[in-house]
Order: sequence, then structure tokens, then C-alpha cells
Amino acid sequence: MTDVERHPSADLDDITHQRVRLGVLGILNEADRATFAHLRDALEVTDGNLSAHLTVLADAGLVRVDKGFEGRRPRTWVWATRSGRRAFSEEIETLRRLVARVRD
Amino acid sequence: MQSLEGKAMEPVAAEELMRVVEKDRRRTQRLLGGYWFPLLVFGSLALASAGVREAAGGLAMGVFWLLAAPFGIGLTSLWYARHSHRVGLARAPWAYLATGAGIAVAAAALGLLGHNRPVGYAGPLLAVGLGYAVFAALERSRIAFLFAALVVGAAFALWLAQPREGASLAMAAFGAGAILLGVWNWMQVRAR
Repeated sequence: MTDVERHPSADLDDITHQRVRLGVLGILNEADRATFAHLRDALEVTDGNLSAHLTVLADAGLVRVDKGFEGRRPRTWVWATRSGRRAFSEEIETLRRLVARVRD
Repeated sequence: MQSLEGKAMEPVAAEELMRVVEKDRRRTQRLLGGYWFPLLVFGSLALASAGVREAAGGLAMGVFWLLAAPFGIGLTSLWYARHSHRVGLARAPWAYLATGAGIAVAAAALGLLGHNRPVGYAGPLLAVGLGYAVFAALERSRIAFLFAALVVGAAFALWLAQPREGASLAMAAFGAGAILLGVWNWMQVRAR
């Protein structure tokens, strides 16, 4: 059996390797929490689209969604969990290795 | 390898994705508002405390800080809370509040224990410098870390030199440095 180097793409995660979901984790990696409205506007997606992606991330334990009120207005805050931060770092590292592999 | 759209992903696409993530990171950092506000608040308070000491003595400066420290922490917390509400982004405040409280307690303790001795003015400045190093790490800012290192260096220099007006000098130097860095950070945030 030959010793073949593992391709970096094998480490890409199906959940985080998606533009909107990676964008959500990227923003939450810099700030600790963001409102639903901020994420929607920053990532230029619709409410329904963002909701669907947040459900995927929340089901995987990568974000926490807190729905509440500030005054009389409803406001939803999204937090990255520790697993979410780790998943983001691993995805970025994998992308870096992928780019470096071609440059070398 | 599958791309974001389900097609084979080229390394160029990976590079483009990283570029977008980096752009989001910078934008988020800009919207978070930087750290200029607390620097301007505590820099101004430090300058004022140097004036109080010159005018009314060491005890008056101690009383000044007893009132000014909680005022500064409260004002800064309020500013960050309002700013977070406005932009829809926030960092968890606990690490910042714990560091601020740690600086206040350590500086007060060293100031009291070292009354009329160099440790009474170099010690609080050292506490402030070490605390700002923690803030710099939380903000992931190299320039803020450099400022913290300068404050720590100034504390040791004062301790060794033991100038006659050490306490006033320490507060004036810290205040001026904090205001300069605060203005610089504010300009950076505005320019991004």
C-alpha cells in the first residue's frame, strides 16, 4: 500500500463549508454575538434563508439563538458556541492548507 | 472536492472564500467600534487626577480615583451597551469588566500600601500597564499591546528614578499616552 498524503479537502466540513454558514461563524468569531438583523444585512440574505442556515448551525451545536425583547421590539441574538469557534478555525485552517498546497 | 455551490472547488475559490471571510472580519471589527472611548475617558481622568494631586495633595487624588474609577467603568459599560444595541454586534463584557475591576483593586491596594514610597505611584501604574496588556489581548491589537508595554516600562523607570513628583508624573504620562492612542484609534475606526 502506498503512503498517499491526505488531501486537505478531506477535512472540509459539510456544515461549515458553506458561504452563509461560514460567514455567520466568521462574524461571530470576531464579535461574541450578533443580531439576526445584522447577520441578514451583512451577509445579504433573506430572513428565510438565514433562518434555515442558523437552524443547521444550531442543530450542530455551533451557535446558540436567543429570542427576546428589547423594550417592546423583538430582538434575536446569535452566539457562537465553543464548538462553533473551533469549527470555524478548523475550516479556515483547511482552506489555508488547500491554497498552500497549490502554491507549493 | 465540493464547492459552496456543489461543483468541484478550485483553490482559487478557496482563496476567494478566505478573502470574503477576512473582509467580514475587518468590517465586524470596524463596527465593534474599537477601544478609543475607554482610552479617552480614563486618559482624561488620569490627567485630571494629576491636576488634583498638584492642587490638593495625595489624599485628594486617592479620593478622586475612588469616585472616578467606578464612574469611568460605568460610563464605558454604558457606551458599549448603547453602541452594541445600535450596530447589532457585541463582545461579551465579563472579561473587560473583570479586567477593569482588577486594575482598580490592584492600583488602589498598591497606592495605599506604598503610601509615600515609590511603589505607591509606580505600583498602580504597573497594575494599569498589565491590565491594558489584557485589554490589548482581548481586542487583538498590537498597538494597544505596545502601549501597555510602554506603561509597564514607565512604571519601572519611575520606580528606579524616584522623581519628586512621581505620582503626578505617572498619571500625566499615562493620561497623555492614553488620549493620544485613543485619538489615533478613533481616526482609524473612522477611516476604515
